[in-house]
Amino acid sequence: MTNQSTTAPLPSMRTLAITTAIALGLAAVILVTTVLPAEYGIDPLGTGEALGLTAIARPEGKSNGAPSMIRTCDLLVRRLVQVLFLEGSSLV
Amino acid sequence: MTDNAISDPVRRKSARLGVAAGLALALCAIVSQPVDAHGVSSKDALYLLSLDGPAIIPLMYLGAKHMVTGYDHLLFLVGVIFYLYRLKDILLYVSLFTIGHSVTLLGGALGGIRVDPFLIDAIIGLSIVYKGFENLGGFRRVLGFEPDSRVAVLIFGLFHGFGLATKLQQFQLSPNGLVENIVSFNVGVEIGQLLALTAVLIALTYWRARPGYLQHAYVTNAALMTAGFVFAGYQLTGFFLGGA
Repeated sequence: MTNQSTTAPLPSMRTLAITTAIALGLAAVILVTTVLPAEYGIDPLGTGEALGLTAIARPEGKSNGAPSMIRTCDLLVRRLVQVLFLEGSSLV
Repeated sequence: MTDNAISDPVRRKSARLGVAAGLALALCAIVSQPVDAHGVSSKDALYLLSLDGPAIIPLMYLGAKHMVTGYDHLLFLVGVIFYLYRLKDILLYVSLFTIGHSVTLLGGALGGIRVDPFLIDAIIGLSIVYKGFENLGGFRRVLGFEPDSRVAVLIFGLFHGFGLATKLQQFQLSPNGLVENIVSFNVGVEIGQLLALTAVLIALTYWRARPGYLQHAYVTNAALMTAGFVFAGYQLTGFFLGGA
């Protein structure tokens, strides 16, 4: 890029290596914990099952008891409303 | 005064929880989106399959939609214009990208060149990694020079075009009106790209004027690399599974 050199200092080799390693590592974690379970049902750590993500990879109606994402969201919102209401009233 | 002392933490807590609830709802809205058939939503897929004859406006719409909602192309473009300040440069790089992807979109879809969609999308993911690494100054540090970024954009444009072609090729489009439809799709892609670029440029311009931009710029390009790796890994896994 013609006008780039003036805008940012060049990172050291070490910084560059660490940055690239973090990018790769973070990508691996995101892939293994969420993307692969949701897209292909590959769930080596069991995180997909725990979050209900593997249900997305399965064809409809074949959920084997794992909470569906919609249900998880529903519970989450209910819980938030509950906390909001209870904590608010107890403080007042 | 005591009234305020009581209600302020409550109000703050409520605000925080409100934000959390909003995020949860937004996440729910995202995950409940219709499942896509490798980039084209099922409703659009049915339409493309039923198509027999020229449909210029609908194909233009689908091309634009694919570009505006296709985060892989958008992330690459963000990387490309990240350090471009002059309109002349932006036009040059975007033109090179447009030439690249139009050649392979038209050539691939009309010439019937078949490429594995997973492999192509994996390369598109790596093109995002490449651009992020280049923006970090990685090539200048490691190689001592930077491979001509104009050539890189043109070459990656060719791969992005193959990616666009594979999206259409999945549907065995009717030969009736094929040329019109593919050209329309290509025109739509350019319209979508223009719309997306305008939005990205406005956001970048606003952001550049703010303090601490350069520090954030480093992190942003590292995040760009991460996103590229995730996309490439996702597609490579699909390839090794034999096209799930």
